[in-house]
Amino acid sequence: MEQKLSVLHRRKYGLSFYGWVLMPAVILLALITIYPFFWMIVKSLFHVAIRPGQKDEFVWFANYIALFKDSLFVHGWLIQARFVVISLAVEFVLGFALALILNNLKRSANIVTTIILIPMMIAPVAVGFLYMYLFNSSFGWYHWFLKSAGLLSGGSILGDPTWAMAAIIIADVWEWTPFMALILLAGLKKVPLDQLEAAKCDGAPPIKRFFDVVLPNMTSVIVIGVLIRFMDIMRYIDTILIMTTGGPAGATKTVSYYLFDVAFRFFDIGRGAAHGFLLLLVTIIIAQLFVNVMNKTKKGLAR
Amino acid sequence: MFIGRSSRRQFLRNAGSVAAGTTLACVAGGFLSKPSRTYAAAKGADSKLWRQYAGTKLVFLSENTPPSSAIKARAKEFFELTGMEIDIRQDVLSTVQEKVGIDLRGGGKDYQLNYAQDKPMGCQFGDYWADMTPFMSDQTLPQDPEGYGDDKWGFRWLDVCGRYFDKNKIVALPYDNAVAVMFYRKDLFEKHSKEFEKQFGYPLEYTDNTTWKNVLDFMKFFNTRKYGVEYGYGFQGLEGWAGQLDFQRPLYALGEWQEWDMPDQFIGTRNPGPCRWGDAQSVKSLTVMRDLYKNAHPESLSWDWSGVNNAFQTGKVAMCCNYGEFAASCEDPKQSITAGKVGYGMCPKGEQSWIVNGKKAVNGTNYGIGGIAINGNLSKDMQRAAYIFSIWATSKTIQLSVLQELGGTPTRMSVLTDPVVVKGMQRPTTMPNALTYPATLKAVVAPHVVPGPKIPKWNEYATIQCIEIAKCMAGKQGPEATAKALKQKRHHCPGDCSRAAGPRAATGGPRLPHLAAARPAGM
Repeated sequence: MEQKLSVLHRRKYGLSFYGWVLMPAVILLALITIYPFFWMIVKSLFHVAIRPGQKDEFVWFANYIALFKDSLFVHGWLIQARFVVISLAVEFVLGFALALILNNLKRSANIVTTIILIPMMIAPVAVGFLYMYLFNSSFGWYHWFLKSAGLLSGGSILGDPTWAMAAIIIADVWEWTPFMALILLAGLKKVPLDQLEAAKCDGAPPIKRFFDVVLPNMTSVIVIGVLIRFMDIMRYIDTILIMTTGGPAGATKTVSYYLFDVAFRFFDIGRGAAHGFLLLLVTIIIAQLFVNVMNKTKKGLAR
Repeated sequence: MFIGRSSRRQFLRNAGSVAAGTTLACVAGGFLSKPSRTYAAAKGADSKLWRQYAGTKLVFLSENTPPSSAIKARAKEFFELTGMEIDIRQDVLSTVQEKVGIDLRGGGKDYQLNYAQDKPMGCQFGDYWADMTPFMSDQTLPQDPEGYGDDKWGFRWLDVCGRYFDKNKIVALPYDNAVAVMFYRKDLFEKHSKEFEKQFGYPLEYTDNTTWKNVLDFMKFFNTRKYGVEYGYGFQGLEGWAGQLDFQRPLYALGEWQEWDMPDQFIGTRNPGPCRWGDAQSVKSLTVMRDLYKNAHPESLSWDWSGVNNAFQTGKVAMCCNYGEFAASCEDPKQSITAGKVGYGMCPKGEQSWIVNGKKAVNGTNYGIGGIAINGNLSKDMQRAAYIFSIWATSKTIQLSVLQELGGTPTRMSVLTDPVVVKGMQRPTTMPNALTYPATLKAVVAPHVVPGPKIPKWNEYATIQCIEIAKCMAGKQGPEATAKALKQKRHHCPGDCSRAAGPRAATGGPRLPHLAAARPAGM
């Protein structure tokens, strides 16, 4: 009955009743999200005046061309790729391990889960300060540990271009592995027990059960978890800002951190808009590729 | 009391109408309200002049420095004098840059007063700040009894903080100046002088003539870890404002080298032209600086002023160049093991044998001057109201009380030469920051002081400079390659200064007359 009314309403007014009710919210959302997006694209084609009274100059794709001539921008992509790939891989592996442990806990599972989730509840800026102090050569416990273990030859973590990136990754892994664990734990809870038991009855060893039963049932959850983290890391600058400000020697200046520099420290709005648009475009393309690959994998596993 | 169905509805309707009416009135009032001006006719009627904008609310967005906190603590005093409410909001410099930039460039008026840190803020936003010169001679506004002449402030501090690329316009008044001086462990220097002399052939002492080469010897001596500290020296090469200033000190000490040959380094220029990176002196300076960094604390590239101060006051390093305001924590026995043991001197002098440009060695010193600027988007009346706060906050009385309460380095010469402050420059003192003033006052004058480079794209230049020099200091890139990269990036990096100056400057059009006249031929 309700469906019939809705169809009649759509025929008469061009849109269902619910559609009309939702329309103001949709328009508002469009204004909030779509307008700035197009504004960014338009601004990326201008050299935005830096003095009052001057006019913006339409420069076609000069801002984009300039970006590719900028070594910090090009190098920033390499640093970003390293940051994203290593962080994501480590967080996924550790997160999965944690999720498996939590899933098999017989007692105090809720308490342990809550404790494990604490890092992701801390503000990223606070995590930045925490790790800046932990890696400090004067009183940092991690610094002392690494030096005592003979792993740190140079004497500095945040002052060394190689170690500084490792420090940023460690802070990120510490904060966001629990998030991955939480998502994967939810996926593990949804794995059908009858399939697991059937595989067990058939004599499948745990490793085979994991790859043949658990993993195929978790593909969607894995895609969601990895995708969210990927998009998050792509725009993540908080800990870098606090721990290294992109240094030393630009070693932690990811392309997203450099965007912050260009837009809000150099106030080069046109170049910042072009930079932001490219970053968004690349994030969307990689995310889509990732979804496609995972879908193919899912189909393959299902067969 | 029973309210029936119809009367309750009536009551709610009436209450709703009243609430809606009140809200509308408030909103309309908010939109329409302007500072009410009641010009005082009489010149001597000081109270009326100060109170002409009573009821106005001002917001000052500042970096979280001790003087800003001290002024914030005196907001009630300002209210009592003027009837104006001042809301001082403090944040880290990068956030202040971001918020002020969005406000100014978006035509906003959210922050009526802006923190005017000379290069990071002023070079970029100077054009958006209101010109204060008309207010300074306005008889309908209260004025500082000392005035605002250049001689009333430290050596050219008004130029550095208040004038950007235009000598005729003052857009900020200075209220604090963090000057770099040498902090060294005097106790260790006295205790180990003989051992040092045995090894290096001269006594272990720090004077105005101590050079960077001597500092290198001091580093080697203390790095043995036999003399009470882990390392001899700590730099502050963290990427950004800290790193730019830290690299600049030895660069300038060696033959007064600066990136650009400007007509007036204290005012700056919109179009600096070709830079000097790549010349023989720049390569030589980077070579010796790399040696200095090799021997300094390995954390040097990750420290800013707070980081190096922390290392100094916990006994990790024996020496560091840092800003005078850190003397307060170094001299506090609750915070530092160095209380009462610190000597303060000018920053090291350049080593003559390291100079190849034929110029002289100086004690390269730089600073960060904090000033107060007025948002140029404001109406004239709001600018006048904001001006009243600016002159109050930079007055001698306030600067003196700020110094006595929280520290910093005052900017008015009348404060720096006040008998109370002069007395405080010797131990024992209740104003530990004043212990650095004798060195400061010697160092902030020509030829030792280096104010620039004041160029519109300073923030971008500082980033590029820090990255390339840090690569060199970390041993990832040679001095020649570094100088070459810096030269190349200055000319080809996007957002070059020639663009910042607009089409006229890019095509070599007329510049400001006084700058164009003083510019050497060929530039």
